[in-house]
Amino acid sequence: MKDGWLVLLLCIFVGVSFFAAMMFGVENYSLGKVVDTLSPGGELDRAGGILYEIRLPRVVAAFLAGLMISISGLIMQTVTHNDLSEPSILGVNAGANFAIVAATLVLPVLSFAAMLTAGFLGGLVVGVIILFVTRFRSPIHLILAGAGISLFLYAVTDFLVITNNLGQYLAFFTSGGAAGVSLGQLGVIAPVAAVVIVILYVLSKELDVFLFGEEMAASLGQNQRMYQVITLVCAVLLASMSVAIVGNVVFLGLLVPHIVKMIAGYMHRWTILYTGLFGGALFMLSDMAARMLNETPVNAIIAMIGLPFFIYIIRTRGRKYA
Amino acid sequence: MTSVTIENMDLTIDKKDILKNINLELMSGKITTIIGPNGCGKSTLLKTVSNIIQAGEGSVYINDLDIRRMKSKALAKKVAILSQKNRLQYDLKVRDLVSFSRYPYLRRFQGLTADDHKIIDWALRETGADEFSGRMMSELSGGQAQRVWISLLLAQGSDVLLLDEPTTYLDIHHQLETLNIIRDLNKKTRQTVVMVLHDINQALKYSDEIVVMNRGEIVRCGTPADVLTNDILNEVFNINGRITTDPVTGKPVLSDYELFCRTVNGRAL
Repeated sequence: MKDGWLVLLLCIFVGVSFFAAMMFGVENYSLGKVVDTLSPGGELDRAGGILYEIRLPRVVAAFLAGLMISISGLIMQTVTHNDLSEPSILGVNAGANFAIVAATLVLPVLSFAAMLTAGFLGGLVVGVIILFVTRFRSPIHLILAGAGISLFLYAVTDFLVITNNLGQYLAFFTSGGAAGVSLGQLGVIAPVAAVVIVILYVLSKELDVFLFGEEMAASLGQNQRMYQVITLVCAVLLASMSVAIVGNVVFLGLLVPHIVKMIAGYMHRWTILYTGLFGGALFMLSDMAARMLNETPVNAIIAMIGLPFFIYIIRTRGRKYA
Repeated sequence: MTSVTIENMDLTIDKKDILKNINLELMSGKITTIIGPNGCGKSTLLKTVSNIIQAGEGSVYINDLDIRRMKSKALAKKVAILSQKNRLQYDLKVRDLVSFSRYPYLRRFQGLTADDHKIIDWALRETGADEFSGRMMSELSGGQAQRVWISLLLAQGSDVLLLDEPTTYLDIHHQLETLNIIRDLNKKTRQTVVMVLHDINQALKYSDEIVVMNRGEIVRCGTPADVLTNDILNEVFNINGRITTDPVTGKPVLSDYELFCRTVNGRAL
């Protein structure tokens, strides 16, 4: 009953965020204009053209990216038994970012799908290294190793970008933002994301069992290593696809799953859905705010909401790790 | 009846011998208690029987089947273990927690059946946890939480129950309550129970058989009266005890005990 209401409420929130994000930006349009442009046979005048060709892809990209980052964070938190896990902390974003920049340098005329593949492999390699080094042990190890590798990879990436004069082209990767995404690129990402999310839904019962910790899960007869690998690969895939379209977005993957879990509990058949919708809507709004504030990097907007929350999490839930 | 046999088991972790040549046949349908000093391998032995830790050498056989050749879910239907540190990272409703016990029986897209719900209800009733089955785990006292964990173990429907220090962190009243639940259930369901206890008198009182371990080896194995000797107490726990017979139950009790020789941090002065 409660879950039904939450789904309805979130769908309304997503709808409102979508139309708000379509209406407001560098130029503002009326709701009527937005509805008119999006409805079939709507006329494409200059304003309609901007709405349809530039803003719509951007808003949809923001929604998809927010959804993917948040679900990725949720899965990583569950699978690593760690409340502080999320793609950027695990170094997955840095790995994907580095691989995309490096691949662009080697092959300047890279197709979007190839770029995605490079990002996925980069993210996966770094994620595996971090998990191997820390062996799923304490959250502190994970954070330290992740932060270390991330810093290193960002430094190398910056070096590559500066020495090769790629600044203009790749600047958005490090600051995050949904500008310049085409509907064609989204057409590549959306189906992959859909398949990954279906896989995670199929495994939602297994993810629930992870919540008990390793020993209890083993005692219930779960083949943990196998499910850990499958679900983490899914999470890395979602995170690296989001890096490919909006760059490295921080905090969102931590913030959204925690808010959802505080309100709606821990069962994954619900939390995957909630996290995705809420994360998508939140990122659409953040991207809108970024547009309205002279293209402030969207990371700055999220950090402004995220940092106080991050401190809150460390102060309340981080205590038991001490 | 399910038989559990451990044969020639050795386990070495980081070049330290944790278990040395363990041979043990568990009495099916009875309560066996493992006692021994800290770090003697009691908990590890339980974990190898449930295959949470894989033995280096030797094997565990359940009904003459090597557990390493069993599927993990098939093993979970035969053996259930209650770990020492079964704290939850996330808060759950009591009944939702206990329903996870049916995981080994569920297929991929299958939800709980009416039979599963019946078994869960029964398990909650048996430990008295049905009184608070709608509450959150975080709202329960230590004794109540332990009853929920035992319900979870029961609802898993395994013939062999392994309990690693089920009384730790409980006050004396709740320790006895927990042990009484375990004993009464054992009489009723005839499940094989193996537990690790620290209190020697509780081990004497509740067990059909006692296994004494020291430094990874089984030192003695037998009925409470066989096992409780001052030789064993000296050798294993480094204590001296006054062993008497309880006038009411006729069972042996350890009425007083003192250090065998004075030690600091386990080293003789």
